[in-house]
Amino acid sequence: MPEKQKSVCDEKTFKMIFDNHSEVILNFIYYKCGDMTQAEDITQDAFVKLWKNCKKVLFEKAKSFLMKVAQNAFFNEAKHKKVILKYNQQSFSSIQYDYSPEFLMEEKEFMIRLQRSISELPPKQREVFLLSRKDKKTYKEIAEIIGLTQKAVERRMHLALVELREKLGQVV
Amino acid sequence: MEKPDNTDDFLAKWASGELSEKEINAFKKSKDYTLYETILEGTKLLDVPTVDREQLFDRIKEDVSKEKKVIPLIPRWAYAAVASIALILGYTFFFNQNITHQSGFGEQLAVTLPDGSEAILNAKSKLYYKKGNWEQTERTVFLEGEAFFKVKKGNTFTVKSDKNSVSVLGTQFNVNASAGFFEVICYEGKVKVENSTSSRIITRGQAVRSIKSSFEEWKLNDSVPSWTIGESSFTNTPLQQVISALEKQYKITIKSRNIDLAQRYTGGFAHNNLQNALQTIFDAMNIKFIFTNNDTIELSEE
Repeated sequence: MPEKQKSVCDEKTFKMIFDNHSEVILNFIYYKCGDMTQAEDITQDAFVKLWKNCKKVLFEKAKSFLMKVAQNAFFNEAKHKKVILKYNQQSFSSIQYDYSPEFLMEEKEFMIRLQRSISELPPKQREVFLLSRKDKKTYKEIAEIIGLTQKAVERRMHLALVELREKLGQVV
Repeated sequence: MEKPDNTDDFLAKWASGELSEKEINAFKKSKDYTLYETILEGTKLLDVPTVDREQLFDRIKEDVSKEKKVIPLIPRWAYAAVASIALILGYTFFFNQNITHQSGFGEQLAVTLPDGSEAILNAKSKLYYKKGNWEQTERTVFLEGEAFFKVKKGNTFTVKSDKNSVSVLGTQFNVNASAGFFEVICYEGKVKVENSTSSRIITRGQAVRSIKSSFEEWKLNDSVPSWTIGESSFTNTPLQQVISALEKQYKITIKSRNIDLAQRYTGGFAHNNLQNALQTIFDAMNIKFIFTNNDTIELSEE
């Protein structure tokens, strides 16, 4: 006998979908546009739309539905700001490993340049880089979120790192 | 040995820990290794802004429940009627497409506008604006009630109520707009206040009020409105407005049968103690007040 399908229209299921996926959608849109308020609005609209279509969307497809709606909404809103992550002032030196002399610049200055370099990455590379490093998503998961092949995601990740190295390696 | 940049996913594999030990050891010898390592470690120290997701979910629920209510309430035959009403009241229809922020009784609500300007709404106030075009055209918001604005520099920023408007370029000011009453206090910069017949420009520390299309001006020394720090204050304000502020703050109804509501009041009341608040105002005005039930108060001449 087939197992009973979870219905998105069930409020508990809906809340579960929200708990599981809202953070990555928020961050994903934030990495694109750099505006958390906008990311919140888009996420909110996406979930409202999911609820409206809850009879048509299968539980397994809910995540990709949300991602698609959020991305479309994002493309429609033309305005994008710079993505600047906050530096939380934790000391860099708390992390153990050797710096070569060329990186003995002030850690704060390095952090500021890292922030800037990330914000200057092409959005396609930035979203992959941050989803991987900040949200700890695997390349496979990122591929699902963005709707690309895993290979393409890995290529973007590689390029993002090369780009960051070039930007940060310039001034010594 | 193969250089790290040779393949197009080498660094991705490295970052996710998929390289073989041999490959890692070779990579560690390359001159860029430390920088790559530093980039990853540094990124760990950066924060993504956090969002109160419970609140977000509440907003979604609210939106959803609005949808739910609307659908069954409108029978099919009503659509034609609704459509014609929509045409006639095109104006109202326009408002429905706006973004609305509304505070309840005794609440304050901080709102960030699309251009980054801020508005803090006082109790039972409503602010709405059109979502699009904040960059290209004028920035305009509509206000019913009272709000304190901190406006970012940019195009003209306008606050409108039914007949009056305030326009500024970048400054801080407070607007109290209700039926037949409009009051603006400027805390920084320069503000232009207009009603249907005339206009005034006020600067820091000045205030202007429009009652029945005439202007009254006065001066003050505050740097933020006192209501944002838990107290409402008034300068020569018609009693009508003071009562309305009390009602909004404490969610009460005040009945004033024989009282002259045009008389003026100077003073304030705190937001945390109704009894005190009532005494502060009405004792000073020689007006008696009695609770007829928990949330209704009747006023009478002493």
